[in-house]
Amino acid sequence: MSFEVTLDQYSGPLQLLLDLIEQEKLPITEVSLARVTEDYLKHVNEHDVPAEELADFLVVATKLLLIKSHAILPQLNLDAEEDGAKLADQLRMYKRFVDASAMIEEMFGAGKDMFAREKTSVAKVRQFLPPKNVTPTILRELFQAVQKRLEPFFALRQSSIERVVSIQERMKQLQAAMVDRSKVLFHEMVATGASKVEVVVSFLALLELMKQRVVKAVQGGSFHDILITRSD
Amino acid sequence: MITTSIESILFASAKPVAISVLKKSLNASDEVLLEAIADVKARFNVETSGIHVVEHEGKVQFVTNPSESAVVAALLKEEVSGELSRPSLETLTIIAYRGPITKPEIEQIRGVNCTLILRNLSMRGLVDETDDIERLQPVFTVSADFVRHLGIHSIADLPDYLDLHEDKKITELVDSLSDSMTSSLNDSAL
Repeated sequence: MSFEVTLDQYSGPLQLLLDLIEQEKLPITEVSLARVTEDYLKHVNEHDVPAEELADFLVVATKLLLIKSHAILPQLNLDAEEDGAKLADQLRMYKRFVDASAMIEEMFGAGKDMFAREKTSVAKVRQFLPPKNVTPTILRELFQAVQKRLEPFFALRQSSIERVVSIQERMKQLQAAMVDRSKVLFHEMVATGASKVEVVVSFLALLELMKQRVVKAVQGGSFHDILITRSD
Repeated sequence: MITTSIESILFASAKPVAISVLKKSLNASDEVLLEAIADVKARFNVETSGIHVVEHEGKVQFVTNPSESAVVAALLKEEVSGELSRPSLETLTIIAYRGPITKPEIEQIRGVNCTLILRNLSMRGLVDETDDIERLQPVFTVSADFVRHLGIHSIADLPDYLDLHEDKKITELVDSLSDSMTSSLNDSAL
C-alpha cells in the first residue's frame, strides 16, 4: 500500500516513523521498528527533506538500521538492543505528546478566550526616573554573569579554532615536504610518538590537500601506509 | 480582609500581578496569602461570574469568563484564533505539559531541530523564553496569553496534566537522550 503524503508535511523523523507504524496497525516495539525500516528509508530517499532537518532524519535512519541488523543477525552483539529499546521508548513518549496535542488543538480553536484588561494608552512623557538600587557594583556583577554565560560558547569555539589552525599548519608542512620530495609516506608525515589528535589532524590535512587536488594518495590495503605523491 | 485587598489590586492592575508582589504589599505570610488567593479563585472561577482569575508562572490576573469569549471579542474587535501548523502545535504541547523546558529537551522529544519553530512561537506570543541561571541556558514556558486563549485558569487544568508533567519515565528518557547525544551542543555552538 502506498502512502500518499509528501515528506514536507512531516513535522520530523519521529512523525514519519509513527505514521508508518500506525498505518501497519503495529504496536510500538523493536520488532515493528525493524519492519518499517525499509519504508522509512524509502520515504527519506524519495522525498526532499529540508537540508536543516536531514541530519535528524538520518540519525533515526541509522538507529533503525542498527535495530534491523540486530533482528537479522541476533548473534551480532552490538549495542543495538539498548538503542532499539531507546528508540521505541522515544517514539512512545513522542506519541503521548502527539495525542495530547490533539486536545490542545481542540481547545486552541474552541474560542474560549479569557480577555484581560487592556492597558490604558497614556502618552509617555520623557522623565528621569533613576532605578533605586543600581550601583556600579551591581552593573559589574551583572556583566560578569553575562560573561559567565558566554564561557561555554567561547570554550567550544576556541577548541574548534585551534583544530582549524593546526590543520592549516599541517597542510603547509606537508606541502613544503612535497616541494623537496616527490613521495612521502603518511607515517613520515606524522611525527613518531605523535598523539592520536595529531594523527587525526594530519589525516584531515591530507584529505583537504587531496580535495584541493594538490596531492594524490594511494593505500595498498586496510591499515597499510599511505603513499602521498604530488598531483602534477 | 486580605481577600478584598487582593481583589482590588487585581482589578486595578492591567498586567498579571506576581504573588511575591502581593505578599510584599499586603505584608502577609505565604500561608495566609495562598489561602486567600485560593478563596478568590473559588468565588470567581464559577460559571455565573463574569470575571475569572488566571494563575500562570506565579502571577495572577483578572480575566473575562471563557464562555463570554465571543461577545467580548466582538466588542474588542479582536481576532481570536490563528492557524497552528502541526510542528508548532506539537512543540507548543510539549512546552505546555513539560515547561519550563530547554530547547535540547524539546528536541529530544520531537527528534528534530526546533530552532525556527521556537522563534516563530515566541514571535506569535505563544511561548515565553526566560533564562535559567542553574542550567545556564534559556527555558521555555507557554505565555499567559496562551493560557487565557485556551480558557483555562492555570496550565495545570490541561487534560491529563500531571500524567505528562510528572511522568518519571519521560524525565529519565529526556535526560538519558540528552547525555548520549551531542548534536544539540554542536548546534548551539554554531
